[in-house]
Amino acid sequence: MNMIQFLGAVEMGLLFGLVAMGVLLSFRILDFPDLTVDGSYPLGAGVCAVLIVSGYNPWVATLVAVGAGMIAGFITAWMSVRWNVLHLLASILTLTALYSINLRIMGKPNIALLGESTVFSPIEALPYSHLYVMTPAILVLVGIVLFVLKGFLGSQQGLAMRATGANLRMAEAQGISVKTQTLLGLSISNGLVALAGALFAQSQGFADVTMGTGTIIVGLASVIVGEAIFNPRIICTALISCVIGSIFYHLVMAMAMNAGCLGLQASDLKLISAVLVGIAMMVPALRTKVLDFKAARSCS
Amino acid sequence: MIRLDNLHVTFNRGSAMERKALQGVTVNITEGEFVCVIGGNGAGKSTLLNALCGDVPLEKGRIFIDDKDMTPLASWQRAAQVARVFQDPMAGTCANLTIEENMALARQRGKTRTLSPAITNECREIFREQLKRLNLGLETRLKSPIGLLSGGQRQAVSLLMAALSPMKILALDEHTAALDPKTAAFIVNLTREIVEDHHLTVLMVTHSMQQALDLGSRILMLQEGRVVADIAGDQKKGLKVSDLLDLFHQASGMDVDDDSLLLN
Repeated sequence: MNMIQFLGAVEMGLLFGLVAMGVLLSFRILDFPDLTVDGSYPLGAGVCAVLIVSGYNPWVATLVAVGAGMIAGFITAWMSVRWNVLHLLASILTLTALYSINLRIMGKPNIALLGESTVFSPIEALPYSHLYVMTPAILVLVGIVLFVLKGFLGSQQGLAMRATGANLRMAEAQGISVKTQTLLGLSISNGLVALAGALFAQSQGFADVTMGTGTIIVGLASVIVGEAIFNPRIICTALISCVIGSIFYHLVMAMAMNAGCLGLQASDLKLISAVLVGIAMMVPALRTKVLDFKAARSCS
Repeated sequence: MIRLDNLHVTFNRGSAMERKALQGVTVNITEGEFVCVIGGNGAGKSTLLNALCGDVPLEKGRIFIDDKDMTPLASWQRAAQVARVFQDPMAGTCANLTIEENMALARQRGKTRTLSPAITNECREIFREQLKRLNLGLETRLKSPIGLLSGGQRQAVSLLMAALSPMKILALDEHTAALDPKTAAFIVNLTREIVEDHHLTVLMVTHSMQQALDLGSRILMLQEGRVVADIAGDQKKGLKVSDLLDLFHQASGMDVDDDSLLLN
């Protein structure tokens, strides 16, 4: 793997770190398996791309994209808490609808952003190679998001959200509205994912309606890989570890694809992905087994 | 003043499993009273408590706290007035949140939750002060996940948590039933201390007549969803478990075959 491939993987890892944080919020913190992510990722990219092509300021376009993602998350949560639609099904319904909606918004399956002004334009104008400035720029953006999210989850409001997912009865006994928390949490989660989509479109120079397929798997993989590596106990490490998990995931994928000796080709991507996630999911069980084995040996 | 007015609750209405859990319970609880609810299995004790907390919908009847009609409010909307401790020690706290996070949640019970930090040094000091009275050494473990604590310890923290924010009534749902006798005695003492310190009004459901006699200033006996005995003041003085059992015989017209009523 050369430097270009390495930095490319890190860049994608950072971008998907945003998705991973969104997935952490829905799957882990709210205990709500939300597949809307597969739709809100291209939604963010599509909305952002259309607005930029129409001449809007790229920052405004990015913000509107985040808003669109939040609405998508809100609709899933609303179907679930207001109408008691099974959470998984509610998210699949939204995701299905979003495919058509994305096509409507974009007007065509693919929008190119080459030559357009993006949030990265000032950085690209610097007299350095595109590759070496892009990754730090995205790192800063993801760092800011992580910092804000950490502050939110440590606030009275954020703590209420964490209690909702952890113990519903306790949360209600403390006067926390589970409905409000779910609506808010899924909105934020999908807002983050749409932000990732918008930034992806701007850094890669295109938006495509099919780009969302598998987003949830990558996001979930990042969360699980991060947990397998760091076994985080507090919320700050949980956030950082899912971003690092995402980078690690993308690096492993890049390595596997570029190791000629393995004879893998692009079509094997999903298989490698599934194997990696599978291994990561076995780690907690393996960890207990090793600990038990050690304990048994020290006893005898 | 808490008014439970003619409460009716029926489970599985219209099916073969239909069960009338409450059939017209009317109780007025004045401030500072410690009301213990006793009765056999299925007498409606827990249903009465859950109705007060908003967990079971009422078929008929109304609930007032200080003349405010609570009947249409969901359980989370009643949290400012009603604090609770559950039977299951795992239910009252969030296992994967730390001790201080759990306490911070309870401190804002029924209040608006803002974007300001949930835990400040000031409130940490309050938590430490509260935890010290337990003599369990928990004041040095504020940052441990509460799931690492034993059932008894969690129940003790749940009690402290309930008293962190003002309330109109404390609802205790057999909160010592899942504990071993020694730990249960510790929790009973702690309950008495906290209730006296904060001058709380309490509705406690219990299986133990002895516990009811020890703690309660007033005893309600339920039978098939009705109040069959309401003992307070002079009547309660000098009352023994055997007297309660006699009363139970008279009310139900049957012998006590349920050992749990005799458990201390």
